[in-house]
Amino acid sequence: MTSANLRILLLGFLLIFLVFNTACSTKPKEPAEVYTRRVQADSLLVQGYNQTDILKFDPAWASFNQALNIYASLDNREGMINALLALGRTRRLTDDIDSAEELYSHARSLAVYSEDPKVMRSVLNHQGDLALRQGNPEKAMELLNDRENEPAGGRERSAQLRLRGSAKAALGFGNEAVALLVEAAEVAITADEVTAAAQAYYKLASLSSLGARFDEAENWAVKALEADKSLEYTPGIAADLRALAIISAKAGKTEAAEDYYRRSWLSWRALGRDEDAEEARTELENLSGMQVTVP
Amino acid sequence: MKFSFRHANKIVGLFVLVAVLLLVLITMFAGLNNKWFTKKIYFTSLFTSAEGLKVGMSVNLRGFEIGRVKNISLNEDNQVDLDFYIYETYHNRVLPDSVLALPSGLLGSANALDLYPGLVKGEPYPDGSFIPSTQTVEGKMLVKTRRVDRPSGNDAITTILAELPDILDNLNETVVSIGTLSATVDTGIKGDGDNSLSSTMQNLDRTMQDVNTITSSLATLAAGLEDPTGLVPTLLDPSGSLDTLLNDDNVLWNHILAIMVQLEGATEGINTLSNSLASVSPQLALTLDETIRSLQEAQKVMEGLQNNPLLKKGISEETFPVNPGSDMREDEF
Repeated sequence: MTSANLRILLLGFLLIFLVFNTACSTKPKEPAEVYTRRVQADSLLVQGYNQTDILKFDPAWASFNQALNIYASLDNREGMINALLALGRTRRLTDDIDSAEELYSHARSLAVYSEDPKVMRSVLNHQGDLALRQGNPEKAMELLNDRENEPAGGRERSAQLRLRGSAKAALGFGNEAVALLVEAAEVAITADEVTAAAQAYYKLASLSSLGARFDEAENWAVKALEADKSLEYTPGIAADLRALAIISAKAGKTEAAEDYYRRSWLSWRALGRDEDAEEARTELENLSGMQVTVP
Repeated sequence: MKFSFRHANKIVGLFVLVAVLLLVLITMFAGLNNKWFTKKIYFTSLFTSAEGLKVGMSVNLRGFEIGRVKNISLNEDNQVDLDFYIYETYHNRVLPDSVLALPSGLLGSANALDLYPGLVKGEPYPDGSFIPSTQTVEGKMLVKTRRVDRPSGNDAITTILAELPDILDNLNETVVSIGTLSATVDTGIKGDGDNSLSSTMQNLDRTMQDVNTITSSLATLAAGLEDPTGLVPTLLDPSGSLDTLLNDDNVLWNHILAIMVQLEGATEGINTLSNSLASVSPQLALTLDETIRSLQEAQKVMEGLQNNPLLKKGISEETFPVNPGSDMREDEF
């Protein structure tokens, strides 16, 4: 065999090998039309989340509803569940608890057939949260300890622990609540879910403040603020600053409280959450005894 | 002579007997026809209005009568309670997630209610259960999430009529969205709101001011070019050129520098404007998002090439929108 033939043979083998590997590396793709529609639904879902953050509930409802329609037309079960949960949350935030319950239970009946266990956990966490807000921590614990809500890592596990902590606190088991919330934060940090960690820190700050442990509360709130800052999550930052303002005011640190109220007011204002901004401004005026205007 | 039948009593008796038998038979046929003797399973439902509903109207499943409406009443929440029954023969069709619908007819509502059976396989709903109607949120969601067996019409008009309630719902939502959008646009055009369009209009105003300033600078420059003692002759003049630029106490240099700074400012303004525009309209945002996703796809192809098994792993998983959970930081302190 000549060296030229040998080279062609080697090149042939190499080509076959490359084609084989390329085929292996390509996962089955959804059709272009489906992909585009799904991306639209995803974008509408994200848009709805953002609108909810700034309390624009009607546009948020419309976004989630459109997303739900698209997901339904694609038979995308996980998408439908997320949209239903988002719709339910919108209803809860507008105090339409019955509709929220209905929407959550729809999401749950869809989640029964989902192959992804995370979906059911997410639904149970939402239902648990609703039960807590209805003043029924026993029912919340039942949902959060459901056998389908089995422990796993990540965001949902952290949310589950945080909600269990809240339920324990509502049932009067303060120490157990703190332990669960600390675990929730640790799980979130391990899974690199900074938002979930911030939520756990925020809850810890709330519990400590209600227990008149203001230094501890301040530490947790600062941690929450740092976490939210790292994500540049403005609604979280504004809420953390408000929390710090209340804690500082309760601890008698007037100057710090004023500073936090001022920052919280400006953050709410930047977000367009006028009612929260006005509340912070009024608190600031009451605390400083001076009229506050836009800098 | 008195005329009489010999068996008059017997004949009259026979007639009476035949009449009674006929009456019984007719009653039996009527009963069978109206399913008086069929066992019925009773259910309840809820509608927002009694319009189009009638006591005795039939409940159909794919055109077959499977039951009837027994009672309609207005409850204390100003909703309409509806009691209906399903014949025992069809009880096994009333599966979990079933929905009751009042279809639209050509002239107002139709003459019968439709039952859309749930797609869940299991035990049928027991006697006394509540079946949501398509006029309730629950019923709408069951239909929307395709959890019911809802037949498509045989002809275009039937299909359109069946879809009409959903279309009207969507239209209503769209009208609400348009209302919100027009309010936003109105505030935005005035430029006095805090929303994206307002800031866009304000940015546009600033950008236009920048552009105006640049235009006037360029006009000054053009006038200079026309001036025989101006910039170009000075540059082209053998005694001028770079020498002039370097030795005119930075007058020309400062002029050029100012234009550059203004140009940079205008570019920045246009960038901000395009970012603001993206947040104004969901459609625009979607289009931009799709472009970004296409670019991400292209990036993935490159990544796929880079991660080819010959070299490394495959294409990494796509990230989906993350559900932020139920929490909105509403705790007390």
